[in-house]
Amino acid sequence: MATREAGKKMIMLKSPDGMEFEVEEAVAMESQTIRKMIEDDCADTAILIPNINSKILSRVIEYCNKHVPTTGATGAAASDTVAPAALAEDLKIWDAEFIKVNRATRFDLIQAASYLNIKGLLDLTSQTTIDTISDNSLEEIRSFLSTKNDYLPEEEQTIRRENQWAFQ
Amino acid sequence: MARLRRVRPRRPSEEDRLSALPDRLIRRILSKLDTRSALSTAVLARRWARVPRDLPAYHFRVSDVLPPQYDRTVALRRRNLPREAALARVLDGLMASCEVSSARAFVDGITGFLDADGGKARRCVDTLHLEFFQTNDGGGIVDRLIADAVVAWGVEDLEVVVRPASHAPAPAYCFPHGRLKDGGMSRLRSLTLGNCMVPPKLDCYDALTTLVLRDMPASTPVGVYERVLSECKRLQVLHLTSCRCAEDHLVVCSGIRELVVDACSFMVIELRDLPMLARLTCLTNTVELVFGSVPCLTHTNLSFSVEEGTLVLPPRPHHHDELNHFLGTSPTMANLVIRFTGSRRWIGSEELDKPLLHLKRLLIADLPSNWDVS
Repeated sequence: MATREAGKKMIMLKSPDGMEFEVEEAVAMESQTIRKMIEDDCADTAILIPNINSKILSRVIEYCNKHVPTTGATGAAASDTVAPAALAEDLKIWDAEFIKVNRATRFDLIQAASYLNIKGLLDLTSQTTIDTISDNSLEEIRSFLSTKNDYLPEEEQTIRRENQWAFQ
Repeated sequence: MARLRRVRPRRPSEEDRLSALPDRLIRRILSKLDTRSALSTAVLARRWARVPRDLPAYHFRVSDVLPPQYDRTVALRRRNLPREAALARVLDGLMASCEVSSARAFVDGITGFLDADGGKARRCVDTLHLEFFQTNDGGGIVDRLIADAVVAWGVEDLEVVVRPASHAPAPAYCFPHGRLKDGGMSRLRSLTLGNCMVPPKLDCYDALTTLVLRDMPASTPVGVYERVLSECKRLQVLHLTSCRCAEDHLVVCSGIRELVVDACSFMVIELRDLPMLARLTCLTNTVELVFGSVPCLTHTNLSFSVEEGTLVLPPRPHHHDELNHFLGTSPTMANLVIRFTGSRRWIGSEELDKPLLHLKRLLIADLPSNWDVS
């Protein structure tokens, strides 16, 4: 239900398992998907978010809450008073803590970030995934992905030739 | 109740969750990997074969295949160490063989990449960064890569850096200007050239907004820099880093918004007519900066390093007048950083005619003791 509380417009987000989350409109609009719905006037009551369970949705809302640009009473950006560099550093530390989750949750967060179109969260989750695989050998990545090498020998040779810069 | 359109149902598989993501997402994640790691994922399994073909950016850098001790050896030899001739010869030999083998690896890597699908692989790339050793074969494979990248794949951001090889000074690499016909030239928006000849005619690069020149050789005539400024009509940003020049005096007239001059050899830089210039950074040994018309300047970062013992002009009275005059004529200035290093400081202070009404940030570091900052 869209309501007004303390002058701030609220939006209701529902997960498919029946949980409801009331969030500030500005927080919900960190998601470009929801922003578009609100701007197109499709969100007068509540928004059902399919595919994202309440556990993941609450984490996503937590992320958006932290990353929404804070505005003071006059509407001036708070970054005028706090040095932007310190603010960014603080956010970085917070992000690093936030993303300390198991692999399954991280992949859920990637899909949620992609579906809801939250660039910052997608970048954060992608980068963390990259960091976990980039130092590993191909065999380790295969086992991490539970993927089997299904190439025929000659196919693999062609693929290796094309991408041989990786193996120099 | 408003509903978002349902996408595909979730599969409750705990295995291979990364592979379960849609290709579009996998590509987005892989675009954060370095080029070599991203290319290597192609051999994981069939499903991954085409994924590296769609990367938006490729960075082919010979530094990525040079052994770590190579850079240390180069630094050592640059200081003319070790002193013992026999040992020095051994190191030189090792360096040369590193250079030869990595240059060969680079050519092989690029050849394989270009020959995919019989040379007809379709790619859609924005960014291509290259760093390579110039070899005596004239860099034919690099020419082909640049031509394909810009004309066929639509690269808009191109960086071409030639690493000087220690063993055999090769002729300077010429940017393959002639192979970029058919619309290639007017596609490039950002171009970085390091230790590489500037194309003869820049007015055909009519979409170019950012140009970075690095490590230009000492034989470069000042006319090259001035030609860049006059021929690139839509240029917004010009960076000159470690550029040397046959002459000392550079005159800048252009519609650019940002100028960065870092560690260059110019003794005098005259900012004669820059009607749009908003940001100026000058971190250099330049002894004299002459301010002409710079009406829109808002961000300035100047660092003067004048070491004792080097040949410097005696402090002339007009220097500080120039700076004060410049400050007085820039009422729009919002950020100003001035730093003096070295022992000879030639700027005296004087009352400003007009206050800097818009100044928000001022940093003047390492001041002479007789300055009154108020």
